[in-house]
Amino acid sequence: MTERGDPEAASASVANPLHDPQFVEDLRRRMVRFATLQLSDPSLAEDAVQEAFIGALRGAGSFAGKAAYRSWVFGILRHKIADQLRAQTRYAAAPVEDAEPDPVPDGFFERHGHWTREAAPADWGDPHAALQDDQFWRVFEACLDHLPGQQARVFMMREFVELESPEICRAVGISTSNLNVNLHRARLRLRGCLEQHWFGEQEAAP
Amino acid sequence: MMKCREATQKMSEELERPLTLGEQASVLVHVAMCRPCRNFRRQAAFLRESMRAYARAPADDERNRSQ
Ligand SMILES: [Zn+2]
Repeated sequence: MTERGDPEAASASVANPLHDPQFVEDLRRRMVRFATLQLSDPSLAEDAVQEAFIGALRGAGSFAGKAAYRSWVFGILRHKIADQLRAQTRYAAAPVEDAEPDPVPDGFFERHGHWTREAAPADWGDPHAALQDDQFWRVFEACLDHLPGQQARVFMMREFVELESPEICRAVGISTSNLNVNLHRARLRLRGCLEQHWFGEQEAAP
Repeated sequence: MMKCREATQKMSEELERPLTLGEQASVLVHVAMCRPCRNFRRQAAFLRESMRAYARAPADDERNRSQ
């Protein structure tokens, strides 16, 4: 893995990160990936990202670094995606048929319903310090990338775009119970991935 | 008695809708006895918090900037 941004070298462009081509390229790639997953239409996704950049240029404030700037631009993108999804589903019929949920992940629970030894969640202590750590966000994004498509999509709609459950069911065409199954599995996987790649290291031996 | 698979499903749904009193009771009894599920419940809430922080300028950064 290569570190793309040297924080010292980049500090000159902190006032307006959009003047750093590498930062823009990286940000745009991440935004297009998010938007495409949500909208299932590459050209709509490109449009949403474009509009988010326009919004970012219009409202350029001052930010303490690129992480803060990225959060802000992603916040604009989030609203564009929500608008687009609501427009798309305005005329959508209520889902009548369930798509098959993604397969149950192996290894979380024993047959009788208890956690397997490997999957049982450990104590993370207070995890909030991680939210200030740029490296944590890279791990977080990598873990999101490893979710199966349907789980990733509905989880992001719920927790990133912040749509309500009925809106997601209409947008994706699944029932509430199917949605809940997908969200449950996404949470199981995501927390397992974060424990494996981030919080696990800080875990004291039992 | 509810097993971990079903208990964590309820804890996940707890983030989507208000649980019935019966479901709440089952979850409370389960987490009282099961440490991994207690951890899962906290972590599911933390995932939500993280995702929402992801698309917001961290308040601390804004404060540091103005100081
Ligand atoms: Zn349990």
